[in-house]
Amino acid sequence: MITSYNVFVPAVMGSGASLRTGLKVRELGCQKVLVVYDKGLKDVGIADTIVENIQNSGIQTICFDGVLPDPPDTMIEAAAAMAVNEGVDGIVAIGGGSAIDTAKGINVLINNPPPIMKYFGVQKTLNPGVPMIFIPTTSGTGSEVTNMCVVSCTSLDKKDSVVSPVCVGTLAILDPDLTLGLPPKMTAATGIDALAHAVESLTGGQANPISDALAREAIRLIGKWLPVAFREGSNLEAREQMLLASMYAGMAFTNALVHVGHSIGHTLGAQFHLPHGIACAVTLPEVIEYTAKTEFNKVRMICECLGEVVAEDASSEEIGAIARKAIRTLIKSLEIPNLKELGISLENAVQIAPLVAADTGLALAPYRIPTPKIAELIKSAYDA
Amino acid sequence: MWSKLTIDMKNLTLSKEPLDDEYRELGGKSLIAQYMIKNVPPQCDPLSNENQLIFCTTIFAGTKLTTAHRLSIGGKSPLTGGIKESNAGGYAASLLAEQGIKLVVVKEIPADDRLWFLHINAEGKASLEDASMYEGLNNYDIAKKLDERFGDKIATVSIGSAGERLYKCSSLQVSEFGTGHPSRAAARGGLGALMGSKRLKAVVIEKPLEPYKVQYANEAQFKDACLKLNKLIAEGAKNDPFQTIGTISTIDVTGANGILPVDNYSGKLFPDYTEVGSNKFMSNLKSRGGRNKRACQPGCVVQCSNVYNDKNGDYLTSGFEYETVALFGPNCHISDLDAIAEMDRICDDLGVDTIDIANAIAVCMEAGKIPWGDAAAALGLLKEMAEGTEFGNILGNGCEAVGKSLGCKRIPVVKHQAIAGYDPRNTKGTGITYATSPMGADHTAGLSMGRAFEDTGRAAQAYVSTKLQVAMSFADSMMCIFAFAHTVTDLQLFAEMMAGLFGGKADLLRVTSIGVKSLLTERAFNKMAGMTIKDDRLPDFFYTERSIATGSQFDINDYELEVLFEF
Repeated sequence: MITSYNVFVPAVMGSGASLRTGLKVRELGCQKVLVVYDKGLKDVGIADTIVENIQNSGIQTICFDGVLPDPPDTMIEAAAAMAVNEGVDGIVAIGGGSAIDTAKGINVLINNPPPIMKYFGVQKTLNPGVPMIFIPTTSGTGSEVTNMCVVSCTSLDKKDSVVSPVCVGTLAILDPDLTLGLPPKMTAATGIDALAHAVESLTGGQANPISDALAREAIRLIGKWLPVAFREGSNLEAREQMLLASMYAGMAFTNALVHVGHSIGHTLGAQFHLPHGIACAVTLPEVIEYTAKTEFNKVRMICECLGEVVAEDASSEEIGAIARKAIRTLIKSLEIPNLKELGISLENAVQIAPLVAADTGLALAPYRIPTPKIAELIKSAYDA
Repeated sequence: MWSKLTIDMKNLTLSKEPLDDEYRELGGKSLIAQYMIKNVPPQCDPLSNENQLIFCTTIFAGTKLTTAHRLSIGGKSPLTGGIKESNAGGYAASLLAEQGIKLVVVKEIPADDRLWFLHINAEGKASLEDASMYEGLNNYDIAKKLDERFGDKIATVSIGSAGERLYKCSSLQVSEFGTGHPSRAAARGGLGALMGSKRLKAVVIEKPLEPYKVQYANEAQFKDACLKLNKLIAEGAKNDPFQTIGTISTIDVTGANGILPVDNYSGKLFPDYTEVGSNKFMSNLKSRGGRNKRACQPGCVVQCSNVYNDKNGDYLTSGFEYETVALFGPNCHISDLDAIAEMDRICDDLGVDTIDIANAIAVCMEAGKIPWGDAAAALGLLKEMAEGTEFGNILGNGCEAVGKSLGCKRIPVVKHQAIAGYDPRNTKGTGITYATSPMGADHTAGLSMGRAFEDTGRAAQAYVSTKLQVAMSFADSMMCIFAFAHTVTDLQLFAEMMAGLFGGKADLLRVTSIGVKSLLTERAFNKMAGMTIKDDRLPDFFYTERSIATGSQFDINDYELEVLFEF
């Protein structure tokens, strides 16, 4: 099979790397940048340190500290108006997926008129924006290396995304020091999102050898280090490995994309207001078991990356079952609740199956999954 | 209320009754599927008395919906051995609707060899008339004679000598609105042979003195939605190359990206593809008084049809389409558009499917019977078919029959029906459609080109093929798929029209479920007829040989095909 892979974003990484931000902004030729983050990051002092670092390099900064979770289009449009008025020539985003996606949304609107909902979908002809530097403070979304930005459309009450070269960062700066303070629950929820990116991109219809290699390494690192980061948040090695894993998984899925797990995750998230990572995690073991029917070689890789022994002559069903158990064990070790523990009734959970079946994300599923089968997956995951 | 006309060819009797209530909300492809599963034994011999020939109009026949007057023809296919619905434009469905007839079924076969035609006169009376004087005539001659006899306001559906000889690739030819040319073909699957087996040469429909009035549950609701839909389609059609040029414009795209078949699906590119592309076509139209932007049925706003004249400016053919050009052209290494137009004319006249016959000619070239690119030799073989020589009779049975008789290993067919002008390695969703459509290799069942991530990639191809096959299944029950293509931004309007026409809720599921139910019914029919999952595969060579244009092979795994219709 002939496949293709695109490498998008250069990266600077390592403990303390965020202190290079000012130098890197100057190298990019920027004179006045918009720094995007949320109030929480200001409270813990991370934002101020980086803003000061940028200013020390002789760069003027304008701060937008109003990033909200699941960034709403109205907020992005307000921030973009600010960026245009101030005439910034660069954007620095500090934070999780919400801050980075806000920066991307702003960049879309710098040289393309609002509203942003006009640009949902794959966009090939948008006017380019300004250089962007992304500094993730969670290990999960991988947004620092992807070409998409997820936006909550307030008028339509749904999430959609812009996929465009305008959403691609100019540089990612990965500094594990910034993730040391992430609480255990957030560490688990974001880390398992990275795992979902890795295992789904490995088993989807757009997988290619390079995304496969990145996904495998991400799974291996997550299996080993996520439980450590969850238990000992101050373990710098665990934090660094998780930040890398999240980036590898992001690089894998920006090429290979994700499928059923994320379709279920997006639907559950919207219906029951669950955090993205948790919503994607609850049925992930069953989703990967389902893919084993045709993608048994890939699912075998997942098992092996998670340290499981798979017999040479194992059937696709056996491989699927081993993967399901291994992923569930990992999820359990992170104290991520199942649907029952989340307080959702079985009836309500199963009722989302037709909505999942209508999600276009299923286009990337390795083979057709009809509504009854989706309901079956949800039911089997319900109290597992 | 709509009528059903039943014709018994054994007793030579006709009866006209109100349409069965169970078919009230059906039309076109969906009506044929439901009628067939209840009334035609799936294991019957397609040319025996047990098979039935079905004509019907669409769900929205008789209304102002643009292109609602496609004529669907159904029966068990003499070519595929499975269920078949083949539809065509032209004038017949409009007049059938004006006559208040939704469904015509032709049962049994006559005791003797006498030939008949069905005549529906201006008073609405239907009768079987002696057609022995038309025996052996081809479609252009019989259309002319019927025009002379009944006036030029009629619509005709006819078979040529191919249908009389029961060639498995015989078509039914429907006359075009305005010109009367019998150039709109319900060509696929050999339903012309089914008509021939019933000894029915033609159907003549006169314009009724009093046109039938459709009964609406809520006429205002219907008209409002219909007007919006017509506007949407007209707006979309303005910049549609199918209108501004014609379907031949597809050559410009497929010639460049390897989807255009070349030398019997060798997978090569054809350097001279522009010789059979838009520019050549348009300049020939201009210099010879040809025409494009023609409506084949009244009220069509897409207007993809054309009139193609020869070098002397005399009429040669019309309804000259991409698939015919691609398959008689580059797939036979031929770049002479005039020769291809002549082949189209011969096929329409004789009444055979250009897709299957052109594939058969390419197979003749591959087997060394005639040289690649030799248009004169290809025309020679078509003349053999017209004359009914020994080889001509094999050719009339299509690509697979020719390939087997010549010992050719690369025969591009699925369910015995030839592939339609798009290389399935370079538009894999179309390949999935070819493989799994209950109709056999049929591009109109779901052409994925440009709709998945990459035409040559695997991602999303099965997803797109399933979606399209469902959509085409309900589109073929309502209207022309070219007009339907412009409606996708507001499908809810169809639900409004259903509610306005039949009452009940304006629920889009009412429309989409027509598509799903038809596909599942057709598959059930085929299964009872003896088809298995092995019939849902492309020929081996698409899996094993690379397309030289792209390096691509057809690599969709069997399981993905197997679960395509799980809903």
